[in-house]
Amino acid sequence: MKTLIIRITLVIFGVGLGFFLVAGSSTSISKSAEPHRLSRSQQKNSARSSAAAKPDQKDLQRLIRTLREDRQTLDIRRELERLSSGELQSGMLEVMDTLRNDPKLFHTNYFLIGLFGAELYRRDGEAALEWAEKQEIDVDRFNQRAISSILNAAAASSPSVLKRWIDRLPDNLQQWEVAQYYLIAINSAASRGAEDWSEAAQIFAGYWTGAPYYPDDFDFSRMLKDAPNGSGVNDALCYWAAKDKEAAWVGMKSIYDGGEQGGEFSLGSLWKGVAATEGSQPALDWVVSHLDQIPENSRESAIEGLAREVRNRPEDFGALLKALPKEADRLAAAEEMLVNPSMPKQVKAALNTLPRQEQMAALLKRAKYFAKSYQEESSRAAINTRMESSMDLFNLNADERAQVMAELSGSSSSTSP
Amino acid sequence: MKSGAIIFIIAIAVGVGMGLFAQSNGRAGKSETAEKSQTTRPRERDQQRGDHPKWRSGDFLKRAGETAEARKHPLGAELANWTDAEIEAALYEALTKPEWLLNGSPTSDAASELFAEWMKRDFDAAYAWFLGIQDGTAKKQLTVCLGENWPEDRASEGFALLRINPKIFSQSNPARRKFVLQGLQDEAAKGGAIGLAALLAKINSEKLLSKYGYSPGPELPDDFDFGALAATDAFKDGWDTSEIRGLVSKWMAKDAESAVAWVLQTKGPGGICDVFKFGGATSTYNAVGGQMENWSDEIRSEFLDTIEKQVAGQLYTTSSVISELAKGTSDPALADEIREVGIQGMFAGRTSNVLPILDEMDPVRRVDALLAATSGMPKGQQNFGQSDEELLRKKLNEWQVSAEQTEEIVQRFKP
Repeated sequence: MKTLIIRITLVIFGVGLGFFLVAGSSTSISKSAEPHRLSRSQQKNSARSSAAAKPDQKDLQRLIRTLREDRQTLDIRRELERLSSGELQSGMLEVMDTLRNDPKLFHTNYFLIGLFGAELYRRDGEAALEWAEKQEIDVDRFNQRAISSILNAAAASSPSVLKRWIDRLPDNLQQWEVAQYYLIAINSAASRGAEDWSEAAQIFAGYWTGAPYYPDDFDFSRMLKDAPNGSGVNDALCYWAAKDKEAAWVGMKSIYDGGEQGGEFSLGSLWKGVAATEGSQPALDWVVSHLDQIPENSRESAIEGLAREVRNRPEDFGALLKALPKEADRLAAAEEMLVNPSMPKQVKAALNTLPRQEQMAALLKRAKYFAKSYQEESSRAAINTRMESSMDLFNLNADERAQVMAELSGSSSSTSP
Repeated sequence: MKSGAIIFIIAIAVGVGMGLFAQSNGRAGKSETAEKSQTTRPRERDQQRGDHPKWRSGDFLKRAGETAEARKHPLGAELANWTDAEIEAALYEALTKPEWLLNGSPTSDAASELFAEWMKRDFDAAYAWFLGIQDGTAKKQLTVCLGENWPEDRASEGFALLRINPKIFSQSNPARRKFVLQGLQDEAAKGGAIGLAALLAKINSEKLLSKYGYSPGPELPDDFDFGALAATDAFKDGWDTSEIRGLVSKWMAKDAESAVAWVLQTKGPGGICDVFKFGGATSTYNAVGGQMENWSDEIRSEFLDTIEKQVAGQLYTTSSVISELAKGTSDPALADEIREVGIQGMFAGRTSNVLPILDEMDPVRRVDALLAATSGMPKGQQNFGQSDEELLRKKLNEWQVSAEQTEEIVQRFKP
């Protein structure tokens, strides 16, 4: 009996222990494994939704989320989801027809057409574009056609689809009318991450505004590596430098080390970003302290890029000249300032900090550049006038003027700096 | 004891088996539940939505109309529960963000919304806060918000501020123009034409008048003496500003004969086009159209030549100018002469804009004009494309133009 009781106890205890070992341990595994199944962005989203769930939370981040989610159109979007594709199409045409009759209403309610377009594209993809292509061709403006808002939706999610359709757009569209789709494509791609941005940047080159939003984990170094002269890179670099100047510098340096010149204004973008958070002078000191790390053959173009940005704040230009350690650096910067004929007072004030011989050398450098770049006879008079006014600023004597004019006409025998 | 150990081990194995079974069941149960909830949730939603019929385009338009107003301040509803102190704290937080460097970032948009809400509640406190923050990108962007949300009933204070600190609102800030207009309006009501002329002269020398863009001109008292204003140097000296052209436009609408005569005399026919460009309104175009009947052939032709050149260069606006000018005249032949000018727009690739104007023409004259059309634009700038051709052919067919003439007309427009 006693043995039986012991055996029964052992059975119960053993089964219980076995069950607990497996079920209990598996619970802890699933707990720890669960987050790994989520991608980083999914984790963020889940954190975001739990934050969003607190209705009384009052902070800036919540406001930003509200803006990005466009919550005011939520009910309209839900109602659109209930419609069949056919109902969406006819509804969209009806809505457009009503709005086109009232330009003011068209302007304020254009977003509704955009929501129809987005839902149609989400559901039918390129078939939606094919349908829209056949609708209302005789309206005044392209953006009053159904296809325009569906293209906006395509641009926002599928740059390659947009690219295919750009060639199918009416042939009388102006460049700016097409550019709006590029802009949506590149900005939306930026908001999804560097990989998507790079893909879009390969497709649409040459548009210079930076995106309004980059996610926290956006890989700016990849952006620089993939398309250093891509759309909006300088604005992005500026933002990156404001967030993390050392990381931005490392990214920038790898471009120089790879033999690229770096975007046209890139060093200036770094300065601008750091200046926004630390002030102009500390930013200048910081940028200048890194100059020696730039390969010698890229140094001049880097300084030119810096000067082009700093000259937008002429009051800071003297400080830049003072901070630059080598005469060649100062001449490269000063020459960029001389390009500004519309701001003679500021140019004079900025370059007054240079010693006389460097002012003279900068003028000669500019004259040499003009002589090389504008060889046609037709531009000669304009270039002479430009140089004359620059010489007037610094009260050059007759001898000095003759030297500059000789350089400008290409007849100088001197080796200019 | 040995058998006890064996029983215990077997029992553990059985327990493990049961545990595994329970777990797999649990997983299946969980996923089933999840699936169920995923499938039932939309169904529940549909059911809830099913309580009301699907929206029709009218419902969407109505809802969009209601939302459109709210969308001007997309955080308005959320911020309604915030205290002023909470708004101020969030604004200070926003100022520290690097996102101000991004063009149109949600951070700067949120900050503008916060600032606008505060201005609405307590303008003086919000304005004092604004004056106290450091200069820089953020302040520059908030200045736009300050101008846009400046209380309507305090625009005169805005003008006074602008006189003291002209740089506070940049040339492109719409507030600048709004405040100047308010200042001119206040002065016209108080000091009449002479007072307004004196103020115009002063603020023109202070560079507060706009050199570009549209201005409707200030609202003026009914008995305002335009003739007295036009006789002053201030009016002539400020000709190249939007405000003066807005005033002339208002004068044209009120007394077309005197206003148009004054412009023709002081600036020539091109002056009328300048007024259109910077201060045009439907009433102005109609008024000028009415006056054209009295013009000499020379003036009329110079004026229409100028408009014709603009048609090719401009994108959309000129079509409505042409249409309204033609509507202003009671002479049908003159109306068609005006409409003909629009044909140049087709060479520029604006066929869809031009066709409604041509629709109103006498059919015979229309075909003659199309058959005689010659581009004033260089070949490289012409932009009549495939879609323009389709539209034109469709319309020519509608107008019952013969196949031969259709072909001839289409060929004229091809670059």
